[in-house]
Amino acid sequence: MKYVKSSYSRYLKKLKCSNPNGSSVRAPYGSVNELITHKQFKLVLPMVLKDNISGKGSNLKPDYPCIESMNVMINCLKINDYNEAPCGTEIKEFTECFQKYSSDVKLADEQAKKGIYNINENQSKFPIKFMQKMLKEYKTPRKVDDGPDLPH
Amino acid sequence: MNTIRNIRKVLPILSFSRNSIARSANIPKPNLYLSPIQSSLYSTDQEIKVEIKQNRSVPHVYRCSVNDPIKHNVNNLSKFYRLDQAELNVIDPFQECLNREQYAEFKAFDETCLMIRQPGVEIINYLKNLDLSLPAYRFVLYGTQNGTGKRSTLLHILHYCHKDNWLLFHVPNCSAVLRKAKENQPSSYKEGRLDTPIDAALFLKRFSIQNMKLLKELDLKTTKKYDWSKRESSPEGTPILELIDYANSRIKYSSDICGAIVREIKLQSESNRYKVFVAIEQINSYFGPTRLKRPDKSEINVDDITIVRNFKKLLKNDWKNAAVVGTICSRGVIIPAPNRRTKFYDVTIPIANRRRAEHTLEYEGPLTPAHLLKKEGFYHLEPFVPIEIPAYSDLEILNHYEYYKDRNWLQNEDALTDSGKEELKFLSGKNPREFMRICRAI
Amino acid sequence: MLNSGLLSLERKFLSNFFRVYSQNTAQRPIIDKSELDSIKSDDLRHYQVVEAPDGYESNAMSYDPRMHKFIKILMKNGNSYLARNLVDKALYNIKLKQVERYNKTEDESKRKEIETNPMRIFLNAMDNTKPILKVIGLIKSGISYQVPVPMSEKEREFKATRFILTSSREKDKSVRFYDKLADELIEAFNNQGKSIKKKVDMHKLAEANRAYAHFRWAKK
Repeated sequence: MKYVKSSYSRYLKKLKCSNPNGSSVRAPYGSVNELITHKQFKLVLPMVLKDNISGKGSNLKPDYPCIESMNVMINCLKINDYNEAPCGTEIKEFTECFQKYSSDVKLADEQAKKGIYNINENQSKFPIKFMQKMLKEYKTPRKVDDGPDLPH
Repeated sequence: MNTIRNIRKVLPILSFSRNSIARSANIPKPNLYLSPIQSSLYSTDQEIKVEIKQNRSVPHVYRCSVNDPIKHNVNNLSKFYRLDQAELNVIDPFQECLNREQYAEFKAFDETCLMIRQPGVEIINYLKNLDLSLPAYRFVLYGTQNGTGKRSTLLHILHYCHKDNWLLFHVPNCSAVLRKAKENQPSSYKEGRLDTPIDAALFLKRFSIQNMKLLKELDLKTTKKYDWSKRESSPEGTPILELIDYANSRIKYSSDICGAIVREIKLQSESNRYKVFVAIEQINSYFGPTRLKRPDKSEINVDDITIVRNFKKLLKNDWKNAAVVGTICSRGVIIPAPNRRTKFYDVTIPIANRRRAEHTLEYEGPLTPAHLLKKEGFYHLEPFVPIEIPAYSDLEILNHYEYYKDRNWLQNEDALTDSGKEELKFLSGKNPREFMRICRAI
Repeated sequence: MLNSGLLSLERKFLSNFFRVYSQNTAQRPIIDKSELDSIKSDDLRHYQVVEAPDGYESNAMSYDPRMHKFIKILMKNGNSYLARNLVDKALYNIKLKQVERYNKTEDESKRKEIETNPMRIFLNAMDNTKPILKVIGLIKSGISYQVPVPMSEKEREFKATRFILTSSREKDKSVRFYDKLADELIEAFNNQGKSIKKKVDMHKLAEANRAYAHFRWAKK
């Protein structure tokens, strides 16, 4: 991913460059307090949260699809010495279950592209794409009231 | 509107029978532009259609009840007749008469059936009415396309001759000797000639099996002392069956023994005790080049191969009590490969070294006697009766289809419908071999 | 800059060149003849854009999409003519064997039990060799587990063709491939043979590791 410097880091850099002695921050001539006193912190951009989240760690609980029917089927196969003829119904149940699950996932993905999400009212945690969409829709306000003047 | 009313009035009057009046109610309303006469035709048309349907419900006859080829007439044309397995084992003991796939089909169908076709019946009729005191008659079978059934008609004729007590002289696949003989060695009889002992021994074996019964009856004996080498010889008056046994023990001399038998049969045919039927396939290969070469790798002429030299004598008409049937085929034609750069045939390369390139070369010329036999062969055989074997007619391909259906060979459900039948007919182009090839995987 | 712009233009043009129809509007053509005949005159599909069929798709009686896929998997070095021929010969061999058996039995009731359609034998053999579960390797906290998972229909079909082809390629040099393939298909049709055994082995492995089945769905 391309690394884009945030406005805040750019601001910090400005601070360093505006050192009257011309030396870098790595070798300050005085203490930190001195630096701040020399150049006071100035709010350039409004201090607000971002409108997106990184989707690295999803807290959604995994669901275990078709594991029950799989166990039933494997038991049946084991009893009948891996002959498929007697356990036709179990196999059919399992395959149909998996087909339904995979088709559901596919459908959800397709609908997500269009912007449709099926979400319950009682749900407390949401899929990431849905979160992203919501954050974009309801942005945090950029306009900040003019606070008290900061001393120079 | 008036015209329509008039038509409806006229309709029942014009129709002749009661049934048609009753049916006229079911007829869809006639067009405005139909004249009264036309609409009357419309009703009669339906009657004809019904009749045809009734005829179709009767089982279609594709089998012939007469299994004896002597009794086959024009009435039995394009129907299948059954060959006895014991007889077939005598006629072609090594299964060389037909394609390998055809024998596999016989095995799967649990019977051997051949179609009675027009050229086969024609030649059988000629053979019945021959004047045998005249010089040998020659027939040449050819087809304008390959795979129309030259060999199967030949088998039909051979079956007839076997039943009618002819002496069979059958050489199937004679071009194979010239293309890839199993073994060859210089002749001990004359210098410069080439022997093909294994192929000759195979011929003698076939000859003895085909004619065992007749040869025992006739008890032919040699009229001359034959010297095979300086030490070995067979004296005058040895029976021909004994000669064949001798060839079995001394395979080295078998191709010379072939020559001796040809000479004896030709000489003794003047006694009117027997009649000879000569059937040689791909005779055009006897007048072309060979792939064989001498031990010193020099080129060889076809006439210097002992077997070919002897069998060619049978094709001449200097003897009587005989009939010759030969087939001509593009398979007997050896074609040199073209030069890679120039794409022309390189004449400078000796024939023995020329090879047919892969997937590239087939004989593409016309398959008529004049083109395949060329000048030399044509004059060698003249006068002869050329008989063309055509592709299937509509009735013949329908019978073949019905026969396959009966033997449970067509498995695809689409193939059993009428449209499937049409599709098979169209794809095969009514060529018998192509029809069989398409039906294999269906 | 100009150059790169041209390139991108070209790319756009080419992508349109290979696929003329827009993805949303065009329909796939109907190949099956009976399905075509069933369409009525007032059907809306008559007035919509339809793609041309691919080169291999046809109405002929010998065409079957599952068989076509099998042939393409068998193919080597793009020689599909040879692959088609081999499968045709195998079908021919199957038919010879079964029809011979059919014609030699005289009881009508016994005759009906014999399956003589080579296409049906092939499709049933494929159905019999389709595995239900497979095993995949998964590393979790430094330990590798073998986790049984279900497969999609497409993958099951592919595994079945693999089993049949590999088991018919294990042969002597003197034996022809199409002969062995025919034998293998008939055996698989009767639930016997090498390819069926391979499938059962796969199921046994899945059974042994079924305790880890829920790992597949867990967070990494």
